Amino acid sequence: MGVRMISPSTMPTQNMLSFVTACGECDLLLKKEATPYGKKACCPRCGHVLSKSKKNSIDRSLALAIAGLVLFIPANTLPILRLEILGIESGATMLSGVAALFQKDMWILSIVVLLASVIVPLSKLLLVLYITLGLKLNRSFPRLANCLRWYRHINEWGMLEVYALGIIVAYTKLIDLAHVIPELGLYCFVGVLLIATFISATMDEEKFWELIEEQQRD
Amino acid sequence: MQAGLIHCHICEKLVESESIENKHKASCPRCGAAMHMRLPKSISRTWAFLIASIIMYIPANIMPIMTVQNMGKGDPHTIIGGIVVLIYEGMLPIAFVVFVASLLVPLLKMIGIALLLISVQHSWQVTPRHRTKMYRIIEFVGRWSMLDIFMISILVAMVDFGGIAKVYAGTGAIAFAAVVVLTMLASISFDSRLIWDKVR
Repeated sequence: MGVRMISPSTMPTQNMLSFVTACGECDLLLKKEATPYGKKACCPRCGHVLSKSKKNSIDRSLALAIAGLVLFIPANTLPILRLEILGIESGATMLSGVAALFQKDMWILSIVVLLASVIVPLSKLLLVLYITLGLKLNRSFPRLANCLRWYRHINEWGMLEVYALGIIVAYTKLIDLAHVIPELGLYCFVGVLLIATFISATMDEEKFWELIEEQQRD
Repeated sequence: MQAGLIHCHICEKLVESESIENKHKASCPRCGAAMHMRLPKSISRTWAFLIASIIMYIPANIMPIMTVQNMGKGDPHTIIGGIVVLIYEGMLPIAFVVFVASLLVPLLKMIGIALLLISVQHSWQVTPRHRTKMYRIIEFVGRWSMLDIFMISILVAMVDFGGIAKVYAGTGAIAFAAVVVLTMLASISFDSRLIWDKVR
């Protein structure tokens, strides 16, 4: 959707609500206009991105969510890095990192890591799968609006990309100490990370909300 | 706001405020989220989270975030100590990344949020666009400080060779995770529309 500024003198009336919108960051009233695919509309006053129109947003997000869920299990259960000191080997998976913190009386820390690197990213993938399936099949799945709302709430707390940087720093700290070998889990993790990034780039949330609203009306 | 409309901050739907009957417990007809003209008690909540994070920033920096035990000798590291070790080992780019993510970002973020709060409370008229941009940057960079916490979780799991080498997480790590979470909560509770409300 594109936008055009509304002069302060034109007060919105009942029938104007359908084509008026407000900027989420500065509350400027704007007139909606169709945005061409691949373009984004920005607020003329504060520069906030109001909407990004995406081609095949539902299909693409659905496909990505399925791919992400398939890779998610090996990414969490297979070792990410393997370490060799004096012939002894040791490997770490994402979940064993959480478990090791939990055992060493750092349960608060282990919960933070578990939430940010496993639970939130997994919930996001499941929510996107559920929402896009509901919209794709055009069935009124229960609580579709609530799911999209929860997606918005938890979005910021998933930190896979930060975890990736954490792996790089851990790797550089270890190469002096021992022989470090990247494992299959690392490649699966990178896959999940890329897919999660693609999903947030392809999801046209505004369109999703409009489709959900249409479903609610029927 | 003056037009008699409420903007849902979750699904971005505009609703006429007159059509909402119960002003105190309004929820969005489309997504069900609680609706407010502005986030409730935004300024005091943001101050509360900010002050809590400033308090936690002290133990986060003076207590060890992890202990590396090599051949029986324990060697506790603070955040700064970890960066110094990386510099000694000649890994300057990584040392720089860790320095930015775990020292600079939390500090600048706390200063930035404090500035935004003061600017709103004193109804500054200048540079609302820059202040909005600053808010956007603050929201984006805060999460990257979790870097150290994730690194510790990987090291603790991997380096467990009994007497030869072992890594323990330290209490400073808990304080540091608290700083990151609290500053994130502070930036979420700040309502950026307040910047523009005071500008005419």
